[in-house]
Amino acid sequence: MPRQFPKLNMSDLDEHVRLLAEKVFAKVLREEDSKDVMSLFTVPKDCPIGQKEAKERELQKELAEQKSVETAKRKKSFKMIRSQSMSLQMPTQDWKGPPSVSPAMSPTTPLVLGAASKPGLAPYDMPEYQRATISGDYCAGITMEDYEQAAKSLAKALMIREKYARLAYHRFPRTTAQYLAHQGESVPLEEGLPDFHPPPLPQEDPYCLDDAPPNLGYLVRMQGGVLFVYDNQTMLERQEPHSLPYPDLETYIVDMSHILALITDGPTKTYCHRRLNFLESKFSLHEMLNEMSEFKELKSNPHRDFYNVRKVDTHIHAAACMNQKHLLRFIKYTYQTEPDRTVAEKLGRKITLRQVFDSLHMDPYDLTVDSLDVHAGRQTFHGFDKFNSKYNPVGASELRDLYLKTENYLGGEYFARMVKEVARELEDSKYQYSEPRLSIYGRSPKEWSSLARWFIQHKVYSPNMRWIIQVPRIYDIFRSKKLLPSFGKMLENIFLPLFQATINPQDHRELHLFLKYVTGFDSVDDESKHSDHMFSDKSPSPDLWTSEQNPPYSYYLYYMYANIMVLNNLRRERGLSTFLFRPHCGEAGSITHLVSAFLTADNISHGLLLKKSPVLQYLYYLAQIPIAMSPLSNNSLFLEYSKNPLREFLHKGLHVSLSTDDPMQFHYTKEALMEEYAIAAQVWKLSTCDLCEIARNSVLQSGLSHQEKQKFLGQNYYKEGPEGNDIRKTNVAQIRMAFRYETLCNELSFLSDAMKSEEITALAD
Amino acid sequence: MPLFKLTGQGKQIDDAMRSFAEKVFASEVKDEGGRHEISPFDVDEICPISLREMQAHIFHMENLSMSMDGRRKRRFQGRKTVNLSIPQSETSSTKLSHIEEFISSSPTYESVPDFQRVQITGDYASGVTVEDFEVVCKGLYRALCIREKYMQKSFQRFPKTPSKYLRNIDGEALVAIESFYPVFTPPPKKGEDPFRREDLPANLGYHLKMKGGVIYIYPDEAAASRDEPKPYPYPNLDDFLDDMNFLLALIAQGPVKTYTHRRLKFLSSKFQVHQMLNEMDELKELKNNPHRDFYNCRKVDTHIHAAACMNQKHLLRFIKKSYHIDADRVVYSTKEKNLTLKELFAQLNMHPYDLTVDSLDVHAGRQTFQRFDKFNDKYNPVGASELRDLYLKTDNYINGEYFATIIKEVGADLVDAKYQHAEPRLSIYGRSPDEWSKLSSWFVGNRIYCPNMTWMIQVPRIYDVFRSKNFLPHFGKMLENIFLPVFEATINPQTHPDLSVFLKHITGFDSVDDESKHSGHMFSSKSPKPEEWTMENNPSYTYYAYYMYANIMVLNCLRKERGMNTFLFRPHCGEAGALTHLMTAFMIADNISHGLNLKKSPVLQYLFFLAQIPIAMSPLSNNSLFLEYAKNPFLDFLQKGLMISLSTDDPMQFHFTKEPLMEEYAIAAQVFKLSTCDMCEVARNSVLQCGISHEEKAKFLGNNYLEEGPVGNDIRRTNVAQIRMAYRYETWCYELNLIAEGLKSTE
Repeated sequence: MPRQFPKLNMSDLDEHVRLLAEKVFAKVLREEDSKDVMSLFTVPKDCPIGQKEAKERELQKELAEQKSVETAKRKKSFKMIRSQSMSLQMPTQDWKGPPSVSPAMSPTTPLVLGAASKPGLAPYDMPEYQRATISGDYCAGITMEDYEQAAKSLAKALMIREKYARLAYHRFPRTTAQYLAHQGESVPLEEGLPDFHPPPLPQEDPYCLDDAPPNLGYLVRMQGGVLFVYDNQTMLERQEPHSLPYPDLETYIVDMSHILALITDGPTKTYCHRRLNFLESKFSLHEMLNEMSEFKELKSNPHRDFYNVRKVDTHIHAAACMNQKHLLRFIKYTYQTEPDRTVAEKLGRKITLRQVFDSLHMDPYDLTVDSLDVHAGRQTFHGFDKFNSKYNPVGASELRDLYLKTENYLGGEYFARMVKEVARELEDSKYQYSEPRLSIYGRSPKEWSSLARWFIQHKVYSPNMRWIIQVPRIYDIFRSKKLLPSFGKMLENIFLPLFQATINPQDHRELHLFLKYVTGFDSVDDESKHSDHMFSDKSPSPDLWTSEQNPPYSYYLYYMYANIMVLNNLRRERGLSTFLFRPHCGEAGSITHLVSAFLTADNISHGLLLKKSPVLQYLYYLAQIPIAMSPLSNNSLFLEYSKNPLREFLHKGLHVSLSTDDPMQFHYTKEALMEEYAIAAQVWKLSTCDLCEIARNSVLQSGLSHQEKQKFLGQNYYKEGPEGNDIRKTNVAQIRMAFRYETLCNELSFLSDAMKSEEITALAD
Repeated sequence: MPLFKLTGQGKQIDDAMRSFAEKVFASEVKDEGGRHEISPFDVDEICPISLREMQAHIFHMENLSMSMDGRRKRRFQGRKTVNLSIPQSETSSTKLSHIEEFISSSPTYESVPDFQRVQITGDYASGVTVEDFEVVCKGLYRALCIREKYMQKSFQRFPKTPSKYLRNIDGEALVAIESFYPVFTPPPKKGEDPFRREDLPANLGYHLKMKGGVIYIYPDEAAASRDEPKPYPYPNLDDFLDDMNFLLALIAQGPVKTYTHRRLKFLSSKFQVHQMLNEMDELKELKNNPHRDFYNCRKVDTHIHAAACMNQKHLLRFIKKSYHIDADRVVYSTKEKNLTLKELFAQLNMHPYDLTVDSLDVHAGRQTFQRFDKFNDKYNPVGASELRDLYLKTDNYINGEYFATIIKEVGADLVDAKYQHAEPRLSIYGRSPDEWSKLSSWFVGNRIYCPNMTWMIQVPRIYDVFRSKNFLPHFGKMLENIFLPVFEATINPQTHPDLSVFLKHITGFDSVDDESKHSGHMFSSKSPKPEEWTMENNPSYTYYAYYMYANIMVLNCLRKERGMNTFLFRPHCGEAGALTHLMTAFMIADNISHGLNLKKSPVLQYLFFLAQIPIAMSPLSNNSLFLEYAKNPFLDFLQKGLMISLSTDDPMQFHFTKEPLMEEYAIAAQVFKLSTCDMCEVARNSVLQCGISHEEKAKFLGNNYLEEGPVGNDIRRTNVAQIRMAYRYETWCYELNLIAEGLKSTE
């Protein structure tokens, strides 16, 4: 069956939902400037009158419920279902539809009279630990109707994400998919997973240009901001594109509207807030009961500790991947060894390194990290503009161009050498990996070939590094300088070379090779910059976006996702590696950014604003969307360290990892990633198990290949729960893995039980 | 002589004061057990009744003074305090009693850029009456004189600036401060053997005897039998107790607490305003400073334990490597037989390949919080004392070779880093008289010299353990075991060459153990002498500190006379436990480690500020034991101007990276949002505080580093802004001048 994008029409969208979505968006714009007492996304905690009114409304609903015979009947049938489910909600290996009986019994769970059959064995050796069973937690404080409505809406939201994830070959957790499959057409679980290029073998040349597959000669045209592939000129003229799941904007708007409406729904907010509180409390209980048992598991684990578990810096910018002392020493070294080398050209005149420093009135011997001025201090707090200028050593763009750019008179040699020095340090430390970001601006169609040439010419490959391409959201700058006529041209400059290298790799060997080591795309810029435009089906098409205004965050994300999706399907068809979409998201700005990422992103960086929306936070939890957090980076920009939600998110079970973001700006020691872990461990009193869990998450989140992940995490790493954990490699306690897995299954079972409850009530009728 | 005058003055302390001091001590003891509603040392801001009573007291006193001394009050109020009150040049014979001279003597630092000074008027007497202010100033004055006396007698450091103010108040000329300074061993010259013994001085043949817990020196045995010691300034316990009782009463007096609490608040607020006004100018100074930044400023780890100076990964790798190389070497001896390394691990049921930092279990985690006994267990790898004996001890079957090798590896890392130094602690327990000779043989035999390391001797306060095992008959024997060998090596170095050479690399003594363990004994004139302390109870912290100080004082006089290096007394103090620990350290310690409890006593905190007593703080160590990181007073103390440095304490327990001291600075910088100037100020403080030589300090900080204020700061080496130095110096002088003004108003 061909993979096609399922189309929805705007007329399918409930008018009420559409109006609510528009209201949400308008309110969000206003809320950015002023504090709203009754925020659309949060559950009011500090407003006494709000709490009082909420309680009053719940009381009225409860009273009304008592008078309804039908509701009472449904509640009774639900309780019957619930008692059979218990706390162990795990799908078995041969999952076939909804279970009528719990597949396993905990030793602490009382037997239920009338259980249909002997419980089946758990699919793994279940570790013995003290399980905290909390009864009656599913609908306390919320009516049956509200619970069912919230559960159905959440299930629908998860299905929406699953759809977009599979179409783009992004990751979606198997466990969540199994619970959702009950309500929809079942899809093979291996369908739609990303494909990462395996690392070169030790004796293999990482720069071999001879293994490109044959050209296909397809034609590519951009329509409505998305590149369409045609088999030949005839098909192009007939407007019959190659069979790929091309996205449909109208459908996307419908889906996004559903999520936007959901995150403001009162009962859903209450439900999610309560579930999140339960998650936090359950973890606290678990820790109190089982901390020593987990610790014993780790102590009994031979040869593996936090130091020799693999950890990936999941979010780091290549232009700031060295620490400031390293940069300073490199600058002095180059001046000392080659002061008379020609390093720049200005108005046709060649300039030596010595002349560059003379023109800046400085001697590198006198240079210090203070005069270099790349370290973020208090003045950069809340001043993102100042922060970005930190990328210029000594405030001089000349030095930045010379030392931190891939395109300059030296062909980016200095930058390449520094990156390789950082890579050598990672290789020496052995257990630390990194995913640096390189920039493609979309300013010109030649950027990709220049970047690929830089990579190959300077031999920047390292086994401890994978590369992410970041696209700054700065169309307005290029447009104001008339470098671009429209936003569509920017998209074309970004994606067309990739399509061409995929279709005709023989003609683009260097780019084809480079793409083996690229694992994804990032969207980056200051999220707190505001755009008045609301992204909708009435928004101008990218080709028609000719104004000097920057498109909003959601607009950027959709069109990046759309092109990545088509590209991934094309590459998968050709047997080439696919790309993840991993934007900066939720560091600041509007909460709608996180809604967009929920639909379009494989994983995100930062995610701080999830604190503000319990519905989104809970959805990110249920979908286990990976989040790379950088508390040190946030500490200097938007959120003080002690207020960072990383610890809270980790406890609840969100899929978080630690990353450095910008070692040049933020870190002091030679081991930036270890410094990040050290500070988190000290300030938040993280245990070894916590640290190793975060490290394991970082490997799972990263673009490392399947082979590498099997080596670092275990053969079955892709399975969720203890079955997928090899403690000998991860040093994460099986008790911890079991707790996480069982808790997630329990939360998901609330959704599937709500849907079953409706069916049973119908049957009873 | 002002010292004699003070002594006479001390004799006048009456029984009422002594009685009050005992009451305070009893209250403090009770305070440890439970939460005391009104602590005698705190200013209780949240207790409304206390606040109301204080206001009533002030109101009453003001009414009284208005009716009885209206004229004096009006005259005092009319006096203006000049904010730029730095002392005159030493050559000036004019007293500082005339207001005109103050106005005309504005500072003219050539090297300090102009900056906006924070001037707050009317702040000096707020909160206390004129009479109370005068009483407070007298108390603070006497407290500073007490510390100055004990520092000078023992050749420990007391800053020059407060000495000038004290002499001006006394109407005396300033004695040359340098004659009271400690002596540090200069670094070896190029090609010079750091362990050479050819230049040891000649033996003197003096006779030694411990009397009342202090070692007395006699020219010969005949004089010893006649009890005619050489005329060194032996300590006087009665004087010490009188001084201690005075301070104990002082820190509990209401008006003194109120005044110092307010002064501390002013210090904090002034710094905030200074920073707002001058932060950018300070930054400009640093940016214009060529070649120097935080990375290449010297920084000293002022408090680190040798037995935990490596990080856990380093220890783990060393254990595995030694097994890999030396598996068949005999390394351990039990009563039954000698064991090879392989046999030792087999006996412990483990294989080094399987060893991890988790099974090593030296890292402090959440379980060690507030549990000091669990913390001490972390010194035993895998919970096995056998591995600790083998890898972390100086006295074992292989003569501490593994421990020496690890330390030398840590030293090599410091040399590679170049700008980081450390002062590791080695232990002398006082358990037997041959500990010193064994330790020095280990040190010299393994050639544990490193240019980036100087050494401290720590004495654990665990007499009760040794006594209960009948290793020691009384506490005096412990003191004798600790100090007699050092005196012997000082008098007859030719007879103790290893120990004499070792002592060259020693810069001080530390007193260490869990301060939260309580001793019911109050140190007083009724306390048993050390030779009579035969019970199994441990003496109190103050008792230990006094007798260590007393012996160090005599020892330093002897060594100074012989041209040898002297020792500082630098105890752990104020990490937990009673406030009397900090009061004791105020009297007799050159500097302290931790000092957290200064938060609880504004009087002591202010006195530590006025005397600029160095404090080595370890927020990461405290984070695992007594105080969470965010609640650590490090930033508060730094802003107020207390003399603090950062130290690691125990990298094996607390740190993750290869650079523990940088990790300590990194975390402080992030959590407390320190600026570069702040960090370099802390680094400069660490060099000033430590025991490296005068020559090295001149090289690292500038030739005039002994001067206080901007004159003593060479920004090209320290990267500390001159504006910052000027602000600190002027603020300090202002506070000292308030005391001088308060005393003058009584004339």
